[in-house]
Amino acid sequence: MPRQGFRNRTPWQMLPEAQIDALHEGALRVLAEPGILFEDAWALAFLAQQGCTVDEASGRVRFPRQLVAACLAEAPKQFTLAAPNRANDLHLGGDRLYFTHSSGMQSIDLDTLEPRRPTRQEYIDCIRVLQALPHLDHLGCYPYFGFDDLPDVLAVPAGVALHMQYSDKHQITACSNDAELFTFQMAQALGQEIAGTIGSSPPLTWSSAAVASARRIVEAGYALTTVDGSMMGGTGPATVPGSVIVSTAEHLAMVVLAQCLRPGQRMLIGHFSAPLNMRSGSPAFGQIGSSLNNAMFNQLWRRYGLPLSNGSPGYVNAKGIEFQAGYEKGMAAIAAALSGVNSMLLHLGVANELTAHPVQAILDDDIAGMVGRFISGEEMSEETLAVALIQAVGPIPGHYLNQAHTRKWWRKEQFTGATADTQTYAEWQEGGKKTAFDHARARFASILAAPEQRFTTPTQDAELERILQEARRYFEKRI
Amino acid sequence: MDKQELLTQLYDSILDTEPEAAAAAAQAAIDAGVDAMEAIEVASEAIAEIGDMFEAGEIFLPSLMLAGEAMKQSMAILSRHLHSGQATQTKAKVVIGAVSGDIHDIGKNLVATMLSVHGYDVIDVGVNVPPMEVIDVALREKARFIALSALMTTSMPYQQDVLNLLTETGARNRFFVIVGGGPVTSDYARRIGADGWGNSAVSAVRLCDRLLQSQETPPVSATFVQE
Ligand code: B12
Repeated sequence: MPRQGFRNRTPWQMLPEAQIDALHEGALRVLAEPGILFEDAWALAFLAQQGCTVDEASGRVRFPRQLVAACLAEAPKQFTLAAPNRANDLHLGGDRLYFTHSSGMQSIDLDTLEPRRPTRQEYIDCIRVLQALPHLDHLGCYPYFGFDDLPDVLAVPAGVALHMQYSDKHQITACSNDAELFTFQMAQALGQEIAGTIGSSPPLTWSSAAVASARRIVEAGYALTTVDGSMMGGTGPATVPGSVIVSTAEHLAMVVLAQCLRPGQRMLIGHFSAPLNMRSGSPAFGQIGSSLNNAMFNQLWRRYGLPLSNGSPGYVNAKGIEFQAGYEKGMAAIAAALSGVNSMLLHLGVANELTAHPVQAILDDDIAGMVGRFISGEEMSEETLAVALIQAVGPIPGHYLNQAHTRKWWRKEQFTGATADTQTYAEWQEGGKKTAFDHARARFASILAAPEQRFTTPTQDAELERILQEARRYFEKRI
Repeated sequence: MDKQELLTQLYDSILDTEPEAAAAAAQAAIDAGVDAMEAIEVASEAIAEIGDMFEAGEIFLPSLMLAGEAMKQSMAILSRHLHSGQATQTKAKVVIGAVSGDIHDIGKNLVATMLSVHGYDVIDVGVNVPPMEVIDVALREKARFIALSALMTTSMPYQQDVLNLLTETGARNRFFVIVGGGPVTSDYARRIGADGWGNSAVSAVRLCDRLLQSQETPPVSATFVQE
């Protein structure tokens, strides 16, 4: 029995079908001209064998329509990602929605909001919180880019090992700098499944590093997550439809490569676009443009049918754990969920991709719960229509508090966040006027106060350590 | 059109951020016998104003980039018509690139544009550039600055590699080496012995100006930091 997540049976349609046709057509035209740049000799030769037109000199690959259609048809529309604890398996695709976390380069000091490098213990604490949160369905990349004096190139392998030790949720991990040579060994050693992520280089480029990682993921038999990242007005057109076309063309190219390499290869399509801040050139995370972009992309890709993920709800422009962070994440999450995404990054990120903190994740878990409750919609039955009840209770002085129907249904109907303040005004004043942030800090403390749970045996720990040492030797010249 | 009108047209086309119009205006000025040097001075005034407007938050990146392009295109025409002995005044030559393993180029492009808008002759060697290649270009072009951008903690060490290689090859005193990019801190810049660190495209310009105006030669006694 996989994790339930939430179900969205009637996704929001942003565009009429004819306009979705126009996006699809646009992407196919771009795949034919100018094509996609593959900075990888193996990929050029391989794609030429599959019937693409390859220009060796420029590295451009042009994709015939029939090949794209055949590969889209080949890709699985739903599949399972096994978790160390099978109750945490994910059943990706269809109408199901899961939540996961974003990441940050550093942690922050909760009192001063100053960024700083986390310690190893704080890294572990962060994983323990992610493990404990009910709506955090699987682990994602990082959460932080390292800890203490760990060399940066070891951040991914060391993080993956800690995920395995302190969580039994599925992890979708980053592949870069050959990290997967070691993270996959770890998964194999522990008999676990892991999924790998590669990123395109917008506009319209796949690097040789991404291709190398894709091959390793496919060869290992794991699911492949492809993530785009066009910044509107920077690495993609400033308009939402244009930017969706750039992202779509990049994914379609990798769908072709992966499906030709292994027909039926499991793929999760990750969308991660944002407008560009035209003052600084940084991504304007948190702007509503990211949500328009997700909604349009999701509708197009729902037609293709592959499982989808959205990254931008996990990243905001706010710098602290405060109101702006809440509305930016909340709006992005509801838009992504309504438009039918299957997994979204939401928890943890504090300031764009630069900082993250588990207290933020605790607050975000309430957003996930609210959004999930909303898209789950309403059961429609004799009992919920309650006409017989309404007739029986009648007008004043009738009321519903003393009805068995109320006792049975209210909990199902209501979602109350764990950190939202729900006291009366008087209680709130007497209790020290606590905010959601205070409640989240208290919950953080109580999660960490529980006995530390380990999910690996001492033998497995030794094996993970051995592989990390191997990684250390491999990366020696870069440490 | 008289000379003054032609020069105004050139000035306006840059302020209007119209590369084609700027090229046409430059050509029209040359065709009418306007002195190339005088036209270049007018174009330089326009682009300096663009730089000021960007810093003041009055215009935004697309305008900055297009004005930079307008300047470049008009300069390409005007500089061909300089009399012998006339030379355009650039502050210094800068070789800029994103280091090995790093393909992030938005920030590097902004720095390159701001530097050229502010009178530097910028040679952009692109992204994912091996240390020795940057140095080769800098030596060949007789640059004064090497500007290195790194956006990932995993690519930052290549900034250090460039500095080490410069020292090993005995060329360290030929260039001011400045570093920047998201994760690169002033502390890190100090640690690897860079001559300067800046955290934005605007600060990159101030940094280069300060280094040029200083009495120092590379390597400087203490890393210049520009917020
Ligand atoms: C856009 C982006 C991308 C785009 C890049 C598009 C492009 N053409 O540049 C794409 C999607 C391709 C991409 C790819 C990847 N990215 Co990226 N990316 C970013 C992102 C979101 C923004 C970077 C950016 O452009 N910032 C805006 C510019 C204007 O800022 P800037 O570069 O810092 O430049 C300013 C200043 O620093 C300064 N400056 C810059 N250079 C210099 C130089 C000098 C000399 C001076 C003085 C000043 C200076 O002036 C600039 C203008 O003000 C950051 C996250 C973030 N929020 O920063 C991640 C980020 C940098 N990427 C990251 C990663 C991991 C990757 C990938 C490995 C992902 C993957 N698994 O595929 C690949 C790497 C590919 C590679 N080999 O380089 C990580 C880096 C983590 C780390 N280890 O440090 C980050 C931090 C995101 C994250 N949290 O995961 N990315």
